[in-house]
Amino acid sequence: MERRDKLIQAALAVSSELSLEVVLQRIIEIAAEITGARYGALGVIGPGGVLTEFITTGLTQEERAAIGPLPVGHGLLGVLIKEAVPLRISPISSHPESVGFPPNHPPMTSLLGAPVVSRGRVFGDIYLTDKDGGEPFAREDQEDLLVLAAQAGVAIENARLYEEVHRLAVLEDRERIAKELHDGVIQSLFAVGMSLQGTALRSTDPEQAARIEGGVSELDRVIRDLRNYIFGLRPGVLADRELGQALRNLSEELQERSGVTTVVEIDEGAASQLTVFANDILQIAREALSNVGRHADATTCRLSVFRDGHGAVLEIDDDGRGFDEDTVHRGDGLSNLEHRAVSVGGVLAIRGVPGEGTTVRLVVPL
Amino acid sequence: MFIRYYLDLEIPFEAVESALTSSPGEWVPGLVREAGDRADRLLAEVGFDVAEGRIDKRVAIGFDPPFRLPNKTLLPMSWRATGPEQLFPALEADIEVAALGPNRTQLSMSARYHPPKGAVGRVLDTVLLHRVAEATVKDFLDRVGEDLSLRIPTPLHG
Repeated sequence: MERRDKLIQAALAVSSELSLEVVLQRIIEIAAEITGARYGALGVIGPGGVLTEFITTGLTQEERAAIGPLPVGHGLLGVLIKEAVPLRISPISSHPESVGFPPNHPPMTSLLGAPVVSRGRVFGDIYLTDKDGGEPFAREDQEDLLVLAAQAGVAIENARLYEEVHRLAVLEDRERIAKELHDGVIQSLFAVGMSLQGTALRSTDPEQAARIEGGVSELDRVIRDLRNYIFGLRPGVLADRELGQALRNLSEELQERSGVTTVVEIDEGAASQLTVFANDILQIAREALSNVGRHADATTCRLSVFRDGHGAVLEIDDDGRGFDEDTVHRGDGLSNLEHRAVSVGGVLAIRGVPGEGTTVRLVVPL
Repeated sequence: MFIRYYLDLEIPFEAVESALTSSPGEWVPGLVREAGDRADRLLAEVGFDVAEGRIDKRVAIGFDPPFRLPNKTLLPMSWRATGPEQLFPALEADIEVAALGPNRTQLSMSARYHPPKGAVGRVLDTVLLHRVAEATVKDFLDRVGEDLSLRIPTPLHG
């Protein structure tokens, strides 16, 4: 197949395939085929300016695994990103920015690289190494690679725009649900509750009054659950897929609002294992931190996420007033925490020592 | 038990929202600072006026972050008496700030509390607690409104 046909094939992949990974894989394969490169890679920059996705061709899975952690964008890959100009080098080691290869990396001699750019913004880089026959890459190879890099840039930008539109739609939906629940359901329940409690207050029959008050208490529990659900829809918490960061944000909010000094210790590995339960974990953390701010009378509070022999652990402990486990009233807040713990298949333990503090510990088996 | 109270302010929504979502130390009425190493605790005197004067109780107040909806902003809060609590059960509430027009804002408070359990608690709530809680919520929100009206200039009409 002619070079031009392959370039057209890459363009068609960009316009017809929704999966970014599939498109980028196809682009790097076509780049290697057109130029006769033995190896090829396409890196995508994520938050913080480091490469977060790295798609390769020419390497087996075993070879990739043996190399170890993926490059983050130092050395020549960093030059491509920072200077946003193509590079054509042979041998690679002759370039002053070359930092060599990690252990188990196959030896490579010639390099052709280009920044992945769309509308002036650098999204990553694409590079090829070791042209057939040990020759340096040609100018024609560079021109074709620039075309493919541009297509990759369009694909990445499209995917990010699509994600952003989807994210905004989700946020809009959450906002609408929160508004409908608060303005409609909660207000109605509140009005019914007020009416019922008025009836109970006027009742001269103690038994009837007690039954009505039971209903009022149930409405109170439902309202509390709905409020927790609505506040769980808060943008900036659920929108943030990084559970660790979301937990840090909650702790900072507690400190700002209540003056309780918060310490956060998060094992990111354990946090990422809990990400699938992010919504419930955040609700449990929010409820526990809120209790610290409102009831614990604490000076400091520590939120930690770590692994132990039983699974991933979320622990929130404070140095506040604690409680007597024999006499404490197990209120709705505690029931909410327990229900959420069960919903993630976890085990919740709440321990209080009068005058020394309280520890809320959730263990999620993994 | 449920309590709801509201008042209208001749102040633009944005100004009320901005004031109430700033540090609570800036606007919570009856704020007091506890001496010693707990200076960061937010304590306030809440209560109400009676014919003989005023009944106040010191409470620890807590706030959760504000939640913005398209038509209003909610500020979840709670208070708990710092000493004997019989007359002032722990209370959870949402302060709601909603625009009624370009220069009018409704400030409302929807509160919930749990009276003591049992027949005695029910009688106590009927004859006293509910009235205390209602009067305290009303007094608290009135003082918030008065403070905002004093601090934020009323917009000129016409």
